[in-house]
Amino acid sequence: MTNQRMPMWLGLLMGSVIVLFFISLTVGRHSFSLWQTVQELLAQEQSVYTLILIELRLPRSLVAVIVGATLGLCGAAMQGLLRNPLASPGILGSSSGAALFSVIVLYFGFHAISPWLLPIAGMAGALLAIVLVYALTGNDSTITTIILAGVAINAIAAACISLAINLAPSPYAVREIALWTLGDLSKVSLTNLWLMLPTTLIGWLMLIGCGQALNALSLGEQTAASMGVNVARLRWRIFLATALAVGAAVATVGAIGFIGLVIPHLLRPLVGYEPRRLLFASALGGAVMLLLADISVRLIPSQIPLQVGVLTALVGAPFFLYLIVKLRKELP
Amino acid sequence: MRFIIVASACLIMQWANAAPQRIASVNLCTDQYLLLLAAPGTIATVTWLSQKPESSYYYERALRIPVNHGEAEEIVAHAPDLVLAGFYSARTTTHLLQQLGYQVELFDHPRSVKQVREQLRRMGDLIGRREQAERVIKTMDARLQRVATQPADDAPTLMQYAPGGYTIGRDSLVGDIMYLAGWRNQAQNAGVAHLGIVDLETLLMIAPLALIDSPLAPDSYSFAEQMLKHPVLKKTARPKFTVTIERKLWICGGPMVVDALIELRKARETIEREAIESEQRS
Repeated sequence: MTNQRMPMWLGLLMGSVIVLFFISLTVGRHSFSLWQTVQELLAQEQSVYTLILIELRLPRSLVAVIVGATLGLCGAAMQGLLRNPLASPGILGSSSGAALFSVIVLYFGFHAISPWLLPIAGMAGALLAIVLVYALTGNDSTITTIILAGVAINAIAAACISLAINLAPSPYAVREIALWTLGDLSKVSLTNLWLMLPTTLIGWLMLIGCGQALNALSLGEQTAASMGVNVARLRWRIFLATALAVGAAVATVGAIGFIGLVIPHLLRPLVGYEPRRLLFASALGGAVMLLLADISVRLIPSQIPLQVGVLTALVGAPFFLYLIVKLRKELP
Repeated sequence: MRFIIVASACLIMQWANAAPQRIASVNLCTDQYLLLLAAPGTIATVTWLSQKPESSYYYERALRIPVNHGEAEEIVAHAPDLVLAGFYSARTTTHLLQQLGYQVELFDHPRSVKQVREQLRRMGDLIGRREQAERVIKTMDARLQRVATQPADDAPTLMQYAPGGYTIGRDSLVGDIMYLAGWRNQAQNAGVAHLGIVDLETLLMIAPLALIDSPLAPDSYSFAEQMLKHPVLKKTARPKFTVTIERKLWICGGPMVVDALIELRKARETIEREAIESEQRS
C-alpha cells in the first residue's frame, strides 16, 4: 500500500518545488513577463528585467530551495536519530554555533581575507557546538542528556551572538540580531550561492546514505546494534553532516526556524513512518515550505520588508502547540 | 538635596536672565550648533559622537570638552543651566531632566536649509549669541547665493542609497541640498517623501544615474551594508556613478551643508560634461 502511494506523494512534492520555484522567479515588487525575459536572455540582450531575474530572483529562489531542503533533510535525520518529536536541525546548537561564528567573521572584517571564510566559519561554528555537546555527554549517554546539552550550548551561543553584535564596529550591526535568529533571503547574490553549495552538497551526501541505519534504529538502539548498525558512528555521522549543511545555510541566510521541526512531522504519515523515505520527502517538503514562505513575504504588502523567518515562525510555533496537544492525547 | 540646589540655581540663573554658562548637549546636531556658536568656556559637555571626525564637522573643537553618552547622571554631574537635545534621541534622559527642573530645549532634525536658518537663530537666542548666529547665517547665505540652483527638467537623476536600502526624499535637509545642487531626486519615483526603504528591484527599475554614498563608518560590515555591494549593481548600466559625500557635511544642520551642496553640484557638472563629450564622440 505505502509502496504504491509513495511515488504519488513524491511526484506531488517534486512538482510543487518546480512550480513554486518558477512562481518565486516571477514574484517581486515589479512584475514583468518571465517568458519575454527568458527570450531576451537567450538572445543575450541585457535589460533591467534580465538583471533582476538572473542576479536577484534566481539566486534568491535557488537558495530558498537549497536551504529549505537542507533544513527539512537535517530535521528528518535528527528526529530519526534522536527519536524525539522536538528534535530539529538546530537542537544540538549547530544553527546558533554557525550563526555565532558567521557573526564574528562578518562583523569584524575577517571575510575580507577570503569570502570562503564565511561558509567555513559557519561549519566550524556548527561543528564546535556539536563537539562541545559530545564533550559534555560522551559516547554512551541517553538522548535526553544529549538534548539537554544541546539546549545549554544553544543558550550560550545565543548569548555570545548578542554580545558579538553588540560589540561589532558597524553601526548597523545591532539591528541585524534579528537576521541571525530569524533569517532573511532578500539580499542573497549568486556569489553567496556558490559559496554555500559545496559544503551543503557534502552534508546532503553524507545524510542520504544513513536511511537504512535510521530504519533499523527506529526499532530501538539494541535491535539496531544487533542488526549491525554502529549507533555511535551513525550519531556522529549525522551530527557532522548536519553541521556541514546547516552551517553553510546559516552562514548565508541566518537561522530560519521551524522548517526542520515541522516538515518531518507533517510528512511522516505520508511515507508510512519510515525514516529512510522521510529523508528525501522532507528535503522536498522543506524546499516547498521555504519557497512558500519567501513568496508570501514578497506578496504581503508592507512598507518595511518582512523577514522570511518571521513567517516560518508564525506558522511553525502554532504547530508546536498542536504537537503538544496531540502528544498529550496519545500519552494520557 | 543636590538636585534641589541645582534646580534652584537654574531658576535663579533664568531670573537673572543671564546667558547660560554651563550648557549641556545630548544630541550630535545640537552639539554642532553649540560648537559653532557658543562663547568659549560655556559648553559643559557634548556627546561622545562629537569627537568623531567622521560624524562631527567641528570635532576638533569638541576634543577639549568633556563628553557624555546621553545618560541623565552624566548631565546632572555637570550641573548645567541649559540642556539641549534632539526630538528623538535620549528621550528618557530629557524627560528625567525636565522633571528635575532643568531647562531642556528640544531641536527637531531640520528638513530644509530654511529650517537650518531658523534653528541657528533659535540657538543664538537661547545661548545669548544671536549676533553670532546672524553672522553665520549671513556668510552661509552669501555662499548659497553663489552656488545654489534648481534642477532643470532634464537634470541628471540621483538617489541616496544607504545601507539597508534607506533613501531620503525631498522633504529633508539632504533632499533639499540635492535639489539646490540641481539634481533630480529619484526617491520621489519610489514614493518616498521623507525617509523610506527601496529594495534592489525597485532601484534597478527607477534607475537613477547616480547614487549617493554617505558612509556612516568606513570599511565596516553588516548585511545592511552588503546590499550596497550586491554584484548586480556592478552589472547594470544605471546607476552609473557614485557620488560620495562625507556624512559630517549634512547629517546635521549648519553652514557646512553648503560644502555638501558644492560637492554635489561639482559632481553633477562633471557627469553632465562627460555625457556631452561622449555624445560628441559618438
